[in-house]
Amino acid sequence: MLNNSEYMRYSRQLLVDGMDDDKQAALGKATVVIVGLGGLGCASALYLAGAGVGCLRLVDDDQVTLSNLPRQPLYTEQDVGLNKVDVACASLSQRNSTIRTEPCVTRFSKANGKALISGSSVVLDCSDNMSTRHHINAACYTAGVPLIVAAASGVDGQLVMLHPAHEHGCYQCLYAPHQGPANNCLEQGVLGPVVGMLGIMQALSALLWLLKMGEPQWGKLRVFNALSSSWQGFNIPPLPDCSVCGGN
Amino acid sequence: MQVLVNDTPVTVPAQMHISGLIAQLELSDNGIAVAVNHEVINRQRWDDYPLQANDTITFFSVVAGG
Ligand SMILES: [Zn+2]
Repeated sequence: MLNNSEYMRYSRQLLVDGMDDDKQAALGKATVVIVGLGGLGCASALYLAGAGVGCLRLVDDDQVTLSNLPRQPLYTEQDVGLNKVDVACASLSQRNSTIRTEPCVTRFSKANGKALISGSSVVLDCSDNMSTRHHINAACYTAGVPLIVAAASGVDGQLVMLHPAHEHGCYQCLYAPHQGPANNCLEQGVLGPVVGMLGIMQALSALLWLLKMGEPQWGKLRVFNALSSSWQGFNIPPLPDCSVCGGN
Repeated sequence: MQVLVNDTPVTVPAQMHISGLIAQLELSDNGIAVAVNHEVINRQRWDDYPLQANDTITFFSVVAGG
């Protein structure tokens, strides 16, 4: 049951076709793990906190730097040098004090992955490097937790929804472990709105999944290009000998 | 035979594999991924994935930033 203040706070969201009190209450019981509190993580965390996801577990071992500020709206100039997840949790609590935030100042690894995603409804991969992405994929497949991956670089963005119980390839079927992004300094550049957009797409996909609205695009890679303002979609077939999903 | 590479028609020999196409187009295989007929072909299959006439081939960048 929602209380009066919750009815007020979530009134616009409750008016959406397909929404109801029970779904809002279920959202309040969900736990979403966000790995990486850069441009993707800041954008997705803001909207998931706003929507009333009951618990957000934030995982990152980085500190805020000046070069983060253009595209990471949870941080201000005063936060430079502080742990991202501590600042992010405080910032999110100011916006919605009814949700719980769990700061995890650590780097997601093979060793701690299982503990970090335990009890979660869905995991968002908002990280910024290939090895972490493969660790997250493996942990989610072992635990059977759905995973929403986003990435952004330059003017390009990518979004992938993976469900361990569905018959499609996993992140390792999409990209081989040794298959990195182009190894040059252009790879480091990114336009803020591109990464923000992809983070918001992750939040939207997670929200729709938690609210059981629409048909999730499991097993699909969606590729965005800002210059042509276009999306392309590709299926990810399972590799029969994949060491993570075993071809399902 | 003819295939479509990122919306441009390209003529390739019969029995061409993805690796051969990458060599013919003089692409660097650093940081690229490929889909054939809207299905991702994992890098480990590039050497033996045979292309067919009229295949729609899309090269795109591997993106990992966040
Ligand atoms: Zn796999």
